[in-house]
Amino acid sequence: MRAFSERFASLARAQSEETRDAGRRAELELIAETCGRVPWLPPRSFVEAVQSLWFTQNAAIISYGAGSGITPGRVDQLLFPYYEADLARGELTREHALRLLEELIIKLNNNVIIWPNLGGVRLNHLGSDVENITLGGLDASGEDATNELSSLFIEAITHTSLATTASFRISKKSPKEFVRKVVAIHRETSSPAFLNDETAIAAMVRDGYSVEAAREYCLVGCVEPSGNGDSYGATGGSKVYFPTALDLVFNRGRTTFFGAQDGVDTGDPSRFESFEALLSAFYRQLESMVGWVAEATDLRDAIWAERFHNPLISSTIDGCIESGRDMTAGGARYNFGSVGGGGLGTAVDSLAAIRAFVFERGQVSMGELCEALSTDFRGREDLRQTLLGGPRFGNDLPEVDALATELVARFCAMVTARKTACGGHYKASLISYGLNVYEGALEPATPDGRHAGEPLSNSMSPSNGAERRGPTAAMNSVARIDHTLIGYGNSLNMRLPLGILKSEKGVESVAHLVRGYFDKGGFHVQFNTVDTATLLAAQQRPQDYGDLIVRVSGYSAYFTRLGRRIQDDIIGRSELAPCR
Amino acid sequence: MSLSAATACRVFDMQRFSIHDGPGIRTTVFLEGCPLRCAWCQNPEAFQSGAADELSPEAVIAEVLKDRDFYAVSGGGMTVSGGEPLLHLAPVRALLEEAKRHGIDTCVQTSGAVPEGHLAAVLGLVDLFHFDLKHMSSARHRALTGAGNERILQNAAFLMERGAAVQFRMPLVPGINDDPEHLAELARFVRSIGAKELRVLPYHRLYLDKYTALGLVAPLRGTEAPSAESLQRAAAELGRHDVTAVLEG
Ligand code: SF4
Repeated sequence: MRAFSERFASLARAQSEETRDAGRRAELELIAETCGRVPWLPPRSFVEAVQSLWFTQNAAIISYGAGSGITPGRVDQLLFPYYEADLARGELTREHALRLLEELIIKLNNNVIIWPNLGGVRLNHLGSDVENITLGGLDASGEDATNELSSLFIEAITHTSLATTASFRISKKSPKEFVRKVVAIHRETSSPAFLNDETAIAAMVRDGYSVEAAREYCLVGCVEPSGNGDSYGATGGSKVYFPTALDLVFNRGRTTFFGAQDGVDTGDPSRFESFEALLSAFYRQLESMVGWVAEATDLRDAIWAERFHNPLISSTIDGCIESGRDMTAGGARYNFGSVGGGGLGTAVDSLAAIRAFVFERGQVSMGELCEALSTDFRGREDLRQTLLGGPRFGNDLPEVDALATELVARFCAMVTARKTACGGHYKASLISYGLNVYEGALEPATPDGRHAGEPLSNSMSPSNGAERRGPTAAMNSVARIDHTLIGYGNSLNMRLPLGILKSEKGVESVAHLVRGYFDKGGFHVQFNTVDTATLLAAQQRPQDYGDLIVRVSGYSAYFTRLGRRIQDDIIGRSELAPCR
Repeated sequence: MSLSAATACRVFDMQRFSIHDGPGIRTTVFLEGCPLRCAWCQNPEAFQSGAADELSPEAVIAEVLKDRDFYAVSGGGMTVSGGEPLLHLAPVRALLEEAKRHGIDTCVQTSGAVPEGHLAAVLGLVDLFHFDLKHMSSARHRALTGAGNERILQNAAFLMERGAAVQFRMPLVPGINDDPEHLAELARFVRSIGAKELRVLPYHRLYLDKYTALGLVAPLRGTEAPSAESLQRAAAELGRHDVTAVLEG
């Protein structure tokens, strides 16, 4: 670590001797001094603290290798004491601090490990790994800890206009103005994440954290809550797909894609006499899948514990030094593993369709459905259309939402019952890492009318285009699920109505949506603004964009139901083309 | 549930997460029927009989209550719109009573083209009226909407006299009611009944497809939305006559 930062120091020193520009020379000298000190020695100023944070983060990622989800944590809390002290001493101005934070944001978006192609498609502009920063929220004592730096970070994120992964912790005590500012970020750049402190803290306590430690949680990777510097989280990487459990039911334990007998033979699906029988077969398959994945993860972790010690990162995690053990070998104070679940909306819509069309209305038999799925609905477009018209998750329909609620509760129970090699337990998550499009490529046709290879629903969100009753209805549906069971988080991704951020009332209403959802127990929500590219895509594939709302004063319409000429008109109207 | 014919609500649409129809987050209930036929009407299904569902006030409120948590955090509630929601008094009154029984905030969007008694009958049940003023010349009003404006203007004054909370609103339609003389006259009227503010709703074209879908011809199909400058000009003109114009976005 010391050698690493010293290389920067000596380069800056050498360059400062060559430059004739006095201003630049002073800058280079400061760089040389800063890099010569941190992170080996403690920072003495805000500049040194920012540099120390970045060096540590950067070295950690290099030491770990590609695919890491290493987070600097609660950066506004970490840096605030230095900011406050420097301001008081007159050694820093707000503007200078903002400039430094902007540079930090650019760095966090940079490509450290070279995987530009996949990174660019999957993650963000610069193809960087996800280095999620956490802002706002409660402190260990339960008071609001939002500070001046939280706001400065908002400005820095807005000015740099990169796809920064930033998580905003919102509690009942968060200042309203802070929430409003976070919403307003959407006017300039892409989606900040909103996290509900009350739900996240309850989930952490359920998983064994003290309430004080839980209140210090930060977000790892996408939306996985973890302890702030005291946990070996291993929050991602292992996952099951709920639609696969259905595929296994339909094929007596074989997956359509791989063909091997990977699951349980739950009997001839055409002979299920009730929906309950089908559901119990589904859960048997799911249980066996969770078992497989957890065992494979144990195996992987055993190899890491033996071969891939990481003393550098371990030195930043409480417990490792005290116990004298590496983080991969159970040294951290808190240890967990994860099994994620994917395609919730697709699976729930499929189960609801089977219940409605096979068992309640008798419109199609299980045998017929099996046949249609195995041929990807060839010659059965009529059946596919019927299935597509079935009841869907995300429309505030209690009977459908109950399927989702039960599925998540049972899945979480299966996962948390398993112990990890490091002594903790597995935690469940429902997140897509932006991969739901790829994941769908391996899944055959599903009983919700989805074609083979089409994307699965993402994270905890309703299937694409399934929600037809607006954002409040979707939130009511998703919030029926007990989010505190899902230790490693879930995400709800929603499209904001086009044009809504034009007015202050619109910004305020989005803040109210967040508050309302969180009061119901929702854990995370993230909004996508609608850009011209989205509108053009919606014209091409209207079936995936059924939830896209256009809102102008006193009038609103679903974009895909408007005529082509009006659609073109909207695409061309600059005042409706907000926020990239 | 037995549906009493007298209070059956003829609902042609319900829209959740309405944010431009009153304070906070609201559910807007659209009731069928309207005595007017405005050339720019964006809800022509309001007077297509048969397009609506007949629902009891309880059933409508059950739907409205689904978002009550969002009303609570935002100060929102239910807005009754149309058509002209006060055209048929019994159902709308039953609906508003039912809302009040559940403590739901209410807003009614009216054209004012109803008997004064209908307004008087719901006064205590309505937290906010949205009242449209379309044109000050009765002859022009008749030509544009099918009826003169005398009763509308009287009703506007009536609500103000009775101390109701009213927001006056004008649909700003280029070439129809956006000339300075008309705006001046409108502003004088607004001041004369004791109001100070006018919400300006710029005309837009998003609704035109509805006419095509219903096999109708939209009278204003050739009219464009007002430009930002003409909106500013209108606001300034109203301001000159001591009326604060609030542009609805
Ligand atoms: S008053 Fe409203 S609903 Fe009635 S015709 Fe005019 S615009 Fe349409």
